[in-house]
Amino acid sequence: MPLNVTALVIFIALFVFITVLGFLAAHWRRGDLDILHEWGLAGGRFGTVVTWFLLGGDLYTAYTFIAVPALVFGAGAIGFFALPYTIVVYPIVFVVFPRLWSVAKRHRYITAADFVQGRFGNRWLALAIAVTGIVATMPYIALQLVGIQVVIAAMGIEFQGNWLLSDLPLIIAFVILAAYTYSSGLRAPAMIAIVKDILIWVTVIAAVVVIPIELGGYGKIFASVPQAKLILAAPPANGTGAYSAYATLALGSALALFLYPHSVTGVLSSDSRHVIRRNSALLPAYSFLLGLIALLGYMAIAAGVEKAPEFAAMFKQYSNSFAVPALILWAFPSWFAGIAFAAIAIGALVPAAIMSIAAANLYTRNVYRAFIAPVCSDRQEAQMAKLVSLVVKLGALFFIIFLPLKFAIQLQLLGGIWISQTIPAVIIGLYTRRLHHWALFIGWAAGILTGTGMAYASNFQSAVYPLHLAGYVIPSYAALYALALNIVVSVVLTPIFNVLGIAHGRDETSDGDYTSDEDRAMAVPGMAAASGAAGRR
Amino acid sequence: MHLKYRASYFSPKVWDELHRGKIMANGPHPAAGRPSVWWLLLLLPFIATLWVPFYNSIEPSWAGIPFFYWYQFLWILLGAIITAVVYFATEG
Repeated sequence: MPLNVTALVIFIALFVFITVLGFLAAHWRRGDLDILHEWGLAGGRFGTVVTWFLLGGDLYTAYTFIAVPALVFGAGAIGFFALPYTIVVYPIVFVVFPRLWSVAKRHRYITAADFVQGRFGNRWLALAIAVTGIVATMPYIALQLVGIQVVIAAMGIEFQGNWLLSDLPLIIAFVILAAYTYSSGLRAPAMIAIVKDILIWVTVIAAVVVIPIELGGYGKIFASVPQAKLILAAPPANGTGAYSAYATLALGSALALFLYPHSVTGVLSSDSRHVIRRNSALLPAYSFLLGLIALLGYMAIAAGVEKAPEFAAMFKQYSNSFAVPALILWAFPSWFAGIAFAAIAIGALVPAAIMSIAAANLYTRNVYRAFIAPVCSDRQEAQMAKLVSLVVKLGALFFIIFLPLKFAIQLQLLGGIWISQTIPAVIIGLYTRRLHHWALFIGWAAGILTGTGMAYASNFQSAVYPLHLAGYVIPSYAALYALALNIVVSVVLTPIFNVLGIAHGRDETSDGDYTSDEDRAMAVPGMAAASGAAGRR
Repeated sequence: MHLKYRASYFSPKVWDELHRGKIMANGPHPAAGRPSVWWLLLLLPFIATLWVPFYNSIEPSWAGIPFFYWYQFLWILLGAIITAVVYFATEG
């Protein structure tokens, strides 16, 4: 690709702007950044609007913006499972996560593993939750870099045969990211998320207006998509086919999404449980955006970018991931392509920052403090988290530079299956602690092993596992099968452990903690019981 | 009455009160805040979007957009509206 100077200048200008913003963010809603709660959760002071931007920037990542249309471009309708996924996730968030917010606020939890520790009193179970979160997050961060890589290449920056020079822009971007995350904590991605989201909205709205005009309308776009890709294939007589795959991918992904550490960080940084409830109705705006972005995959088919000679080399290197950048170059003048590419690259930095902070919180609280240095000071704890956030990002960078891309993709696929196995301890734990903590631990292990085995059966190519039941084939997202086994094991082992007399751990939470508002969070223990008694009169 | 009581299982608030013993086996306690059927509405997006045969077709298409697509886009909007309705019905 020839060097696109106009696009590059605009891209760099926007990049410099958000870098300055990232460092300035340290002064925003000033707090003592030597305390983990301030660095890693911004003190839990974000209202409805900032939380909307933060979670929007956090969940709808650059990787999503590249990978979803790439899937639609290559495979068609199945790629649209992202829609039911992001439709059903919000009722779940609405019902479940205000409880996590309330109990976390009262007990100063900053991770899901903190909650599991407090609820079940078993630090090994908490460690399992923390390690699952960290391991699931690492490849996710690495994949964000792919978004940056693709758009940098699309602007024509290439150094044939010299990996150091080729990866230099990526390394620079990541060093900048690491520096402002270190100094400003969660405030930096929160502030940058606002810029990122505005750029993404502008880009997508322009794309869904301008490109269909150039292509002769939506009818023409859909007409150019091969019939076989347009809707899901009807299931065979002896199975549920693409139908169950589509529905279980959506449901399983929805159940898992808010268990990812970066989602928990976003939820817990809000300043009230009502903010989470409100955002459950407001965040679907991003789902709509995601649906429009998915349509870009079809627009790329209609525009015939794959056959354009100038893009051939790029498709060869990045395959379908180049569909969206190619479409942008095809449809827009250089200056707007610069804005669009900046939106994608900044869209990678925001979640990468939040993910590295979330992983650092987990390591510091549930590994370092729980197992290595139980008596560390608040200051030491925050310092450790800052260092770990650097290590995590460095790891992701090495991952992308030195390992084949397919490892990161396969690990991210496994990450979704693994993080789903924390559902019983975290989500069921928010409602009841009847399940025995060791039963939950063994259930978790069984789920991880089964889910990994199912992915292995497809040679890590697919997250969908075709379960054979008496000649009937039910393809389903492996995470759900593994989760079902996980829950069954937890439920069956609980009475056995109870009969054996293995003690339940200490529960430091009380029922009122799960529904409390922030202003009552500071009240003395026993207040909830007293107000309950008053209500009964 | 029976329906209302069962609906209450979807309300986290009622779950808590159940655990605290505020709701007795014979029904919700008068002062425990009426368990709300509103929460049941949240099941609609699941039924509408996870049962694929409802919408896996090209017709009825709209302005050249196959049913499969505009139906799911429509449910993003409906899902948000439903969540908002439940929010206002159960807040405060």
